[in-house]
Amino acid sequence: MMNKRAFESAMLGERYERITHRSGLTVIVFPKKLTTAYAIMGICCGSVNTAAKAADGSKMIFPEGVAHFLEHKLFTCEDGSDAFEHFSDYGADANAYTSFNRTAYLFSCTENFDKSLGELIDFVTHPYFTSESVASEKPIITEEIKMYDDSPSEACFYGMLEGMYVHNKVKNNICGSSESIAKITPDTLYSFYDSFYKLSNMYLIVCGNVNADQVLAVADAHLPSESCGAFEEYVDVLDEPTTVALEYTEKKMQVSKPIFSIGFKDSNIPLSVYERYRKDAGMAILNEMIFSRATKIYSYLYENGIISSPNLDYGYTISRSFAYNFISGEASDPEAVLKVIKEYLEQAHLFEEDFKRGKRVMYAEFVKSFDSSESIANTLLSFVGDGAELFEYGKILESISFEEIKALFDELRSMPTTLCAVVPC
Amino acid sequence: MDTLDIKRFEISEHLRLCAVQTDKFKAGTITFHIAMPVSPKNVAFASVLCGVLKRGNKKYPTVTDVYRRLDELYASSLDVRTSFNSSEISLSLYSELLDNAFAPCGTDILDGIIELISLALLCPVADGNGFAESTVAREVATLRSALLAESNNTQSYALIRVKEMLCRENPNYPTLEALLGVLDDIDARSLWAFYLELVSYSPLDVFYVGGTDAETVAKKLGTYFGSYAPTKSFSQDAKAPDAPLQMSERSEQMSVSQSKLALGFHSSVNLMSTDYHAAILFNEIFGASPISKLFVNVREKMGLCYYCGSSYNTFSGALIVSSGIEGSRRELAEREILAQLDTLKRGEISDAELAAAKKSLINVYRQIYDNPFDISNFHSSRMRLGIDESIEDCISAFDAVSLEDIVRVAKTFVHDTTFFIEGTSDGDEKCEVDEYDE
Repeated sequence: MMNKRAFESAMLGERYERITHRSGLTVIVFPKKLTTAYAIMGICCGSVNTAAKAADGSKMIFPEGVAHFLEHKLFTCEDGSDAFEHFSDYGADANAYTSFNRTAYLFSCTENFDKSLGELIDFVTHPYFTSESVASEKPIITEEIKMYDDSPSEACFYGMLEGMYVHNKVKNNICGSSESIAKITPDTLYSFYDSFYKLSNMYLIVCGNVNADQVLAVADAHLPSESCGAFEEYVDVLDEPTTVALEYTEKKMQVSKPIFSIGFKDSNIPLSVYERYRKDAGMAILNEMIFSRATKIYSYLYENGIISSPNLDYGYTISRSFAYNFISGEASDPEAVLKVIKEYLEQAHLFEEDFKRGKRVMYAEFVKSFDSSESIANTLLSFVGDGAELFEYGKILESISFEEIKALFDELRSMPTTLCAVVPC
Repeated sequence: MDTLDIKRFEISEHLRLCAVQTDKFKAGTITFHIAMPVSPKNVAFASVLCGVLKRGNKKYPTVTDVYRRLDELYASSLDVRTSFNSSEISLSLYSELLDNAFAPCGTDILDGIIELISLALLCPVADGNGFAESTVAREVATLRSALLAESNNTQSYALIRVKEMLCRENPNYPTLEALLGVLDDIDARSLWAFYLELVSYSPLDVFYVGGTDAETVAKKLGTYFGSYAPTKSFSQDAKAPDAPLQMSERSEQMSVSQSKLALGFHSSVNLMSTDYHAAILFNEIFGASPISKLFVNVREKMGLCYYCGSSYNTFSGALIVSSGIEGSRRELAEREILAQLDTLKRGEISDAELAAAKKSLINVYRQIYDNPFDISNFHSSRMRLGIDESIEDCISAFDAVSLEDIVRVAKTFVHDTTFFIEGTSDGDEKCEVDEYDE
């Protein structure tokens, strides 16, 4: 028996269906009249998942970077072929990514959708690892780690996270390190796969010119007809302090001018998923009100040469286990930027006119995100993986009040900060 | 099969519109292009001018005013930027804008954006003597900083350098050093003179994709750009590909852990050649996909790198192979890249490889229909070169390419340029970290 539910947004003129397949897999179908169909098989695990419960109840510890390593190796098939070759035969473009808390395997195509979808389900549900193939992947991933290590912006971002967190795994590089991946064996990958790649912890999300019956017919042909059991989550309790690990971190690298990332550590994470999305939406509006190019602080920083590039990035991230706000850019004196921003936050007042502007911006960004099958599918993976419904976000944006934003502003002002600067060697 | 309703208008002698009306998207795009001949002076001046034009106009005089207006127009974007190839610079004013149907209070977003672009281009903030000195000085400093920061990203820096080397016989090619050399000549007066010269070039090409009908877009353009009346004319020539040069190699040392190897090749085939589509297929098989010769052999079989791929410049006919490698394996990687090119020259391409490459390209080109920016890019680049080719024409042409066509094209690629960044850090000593907890 399959559980089926439809969700609609009159404002967007969009609709999608969520179906729990007999196998336990959650299937989401978002029909859209586009030439391209986009499909993701997503798993709720990523780089922060380095521990799981063994069959005997004990705790298993995995090396850092194992989720990303597995993502690379899953494309290898038992007959020695590579899933990329199969997708190419169908004219589909396949890829994969690992984030802090998700792993996603995906393809986009304009023809042969059913065959490509079958291939996606097959290769993700049939792991095959050998000592030789694991060994041959290590130099490739080592070069990937080096590539990111050489990137000043990556180093600055991770430096900010290292400054912010004492224990939280989010501070560790998604790829791991050359030392941590050296420990990975086929057994490590099988154990990790068996711990997290349960159909009840996975999502198949399809967006494009397809319908639910078409997707389910492929799922029926490639998945078991009975549930393979529930996923039992292992929660690794970390005693993360509310203070930052380090207020200042500096790295010397190949840069012409210093770049910086300022992090605001948010330890007040709501338990309810919709409260988290409400905070996410509120912080997005607040960031538009206080840090965008339409604000006086941006103008002050740029016109006075305190930031040396016009690009000042900002954003807020929240999940069940971590949340932070950040600002990053280029400046001769990053500590001066932090000083100006702290003084500004202490003295600034919020205005309703800016609130309306921020809300309008976020409304427009939300609407625009429904033009791309790739954007829709990836956003859906974030939402359904958290147990949330995507269209609710539009309603949350609409219902947020100025009073709530003022309360969030007070919260932001009290968050401890960390500054990471990458300076010339 | 998808189709596009493309309409073309000559609104005036100097203003051309190409519009695609579609209700497929919630947000559309509008792009304005002005072309000029390439030179270090023109690229440096145009780049600084872009920064100045974005900072304000007579109606919205400050950065804050401009961005507040964009936010009022439902987070529309406004980007002013330059791009260049070996013969022309294109100065583009680009906006992504929400369709009017999604503006709850009836705002005419498209009208607001066309007005804002006309103000940026035709009514910049200036007094009788030109732009404000402080504004120009700030933008010159920003560009200097951006040019010096190109080496922060060694992957893109290697590509910049190998492109410069491929154009070493072209005295007008804007190298990083040439651009930095021009910056000292830019002040309020000289930039104003450049601006007046820029708006004297014609025509202004506009490309729109969105929900508004073409006639309405044309009428709005006529309203806001009626005064645009340039006196000069520059049109990009369909240039013959550059010929191969004497072999040139260059290395730089940098304090990074991964070395970068970039190889440059010249060929006699570019987008004006009959073999153009075969050249794109050649590139796909050689190094542009996860089943390409370079990916499968240099990365997967030999484990020499995380990335190794090729890109083909359809305008110049040049090909670049770029990879990130362990420095000590440079010779091995270079030898293998060239050996893989030789396999194509010998025709060692299976039927499956050829079929997969065709399917992959057909997939890539059909996906253009789903993105307003890609539609605009595909058609505007062809429109400006006078090439009448639809997406479906391209797809049919790929389908018709034979193995013999690809071998013939592969034989035209001659390796004449190598650029290498030697990483001098082993990774552990790369980052010296200072930290303190107050």
